[in-house]
Amino acid sequence: MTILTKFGKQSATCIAAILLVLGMVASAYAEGPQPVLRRLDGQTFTGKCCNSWSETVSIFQKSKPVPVVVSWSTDFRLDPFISIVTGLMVNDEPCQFFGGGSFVQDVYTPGNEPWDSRTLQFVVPASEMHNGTNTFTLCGGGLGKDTDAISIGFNVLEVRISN
Amino acid sequence: MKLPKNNWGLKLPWLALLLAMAAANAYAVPPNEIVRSNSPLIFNGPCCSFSGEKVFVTEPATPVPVIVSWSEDFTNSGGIDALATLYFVIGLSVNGGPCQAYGSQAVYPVNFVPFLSRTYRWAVFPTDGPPANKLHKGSNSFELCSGGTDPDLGPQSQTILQNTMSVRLVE
Repeated sequence: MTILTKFGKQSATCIAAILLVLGMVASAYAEGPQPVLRRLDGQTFTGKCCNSWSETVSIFQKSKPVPVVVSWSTDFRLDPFISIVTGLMVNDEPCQFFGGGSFVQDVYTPGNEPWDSRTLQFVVPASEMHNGTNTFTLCGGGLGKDTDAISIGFNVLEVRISN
Repeated sequence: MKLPKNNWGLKLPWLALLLAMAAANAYAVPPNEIVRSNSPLIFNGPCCSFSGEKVFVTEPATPVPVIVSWSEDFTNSGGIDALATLYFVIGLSVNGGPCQAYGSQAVYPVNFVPFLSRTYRWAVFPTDGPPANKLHKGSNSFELCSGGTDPDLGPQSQTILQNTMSVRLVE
């Protein structure tokens, strides 16, 4: 009886350990880096710079981080004479600018601007990152009034190691 | 003339040449992953027409996402309408499947200038598309497709000038 109980305790401990390891593995996959995000819906961001635009990608850096390239290709629409800037929040730090990220609408048909597209590219230096998983969240806003707004359509955000 | 054995003075240059060729080969992009064209592509009418311009990438046993980049000079005409906000769209046919959007798709109407330049970057995931056209192990094709958005806007035409297309696996 004692032997069985001891065996039962050892088995339970062993099973618990296996489940724990499996859980950690599953968790690691679930929370693994996601270098590409594609959205096929629409969003509108209103307000002065800078606010999070809630689109995030991530990448794993080894012990010595190297620069990364973050590119964003998007459909957009905004009213004439509005200027919008776009940057990145690296690891949830404040919004910074790592390359060309401005949207300015030419006058076309005031009040009824057509959809356009842009591809932006940011280079994030190694000094902004740490070893392990690093996140990159789009951020931005208007340069004028609190009512400045940009509508975003289908878009792809990607991060990759610079090489 | 017989060369003496262990003549490293003669062997080393050949060895260096072989190493240089191997290094160059390692950096080269497979030719079917990129296309550069100076021949005009013309799309007439509503979406979607297929361009015939394709790139290919080889997927491993377990397919991974791919990124397709498209950069173009273009002009277009027709369909100016006070109520419309989307005039032309551009997309991809994956493995011969239907023309679909895999990211940004809007083509700005050219009005006051002779032509414009735009770059698109699309993401295709292994879960996309009907089974017959999903990403699969081996060679996968990506063909450009485009057209006008609304036949009621009248005759719509686009001309694509110099352009490049490339595809790569997401590592």
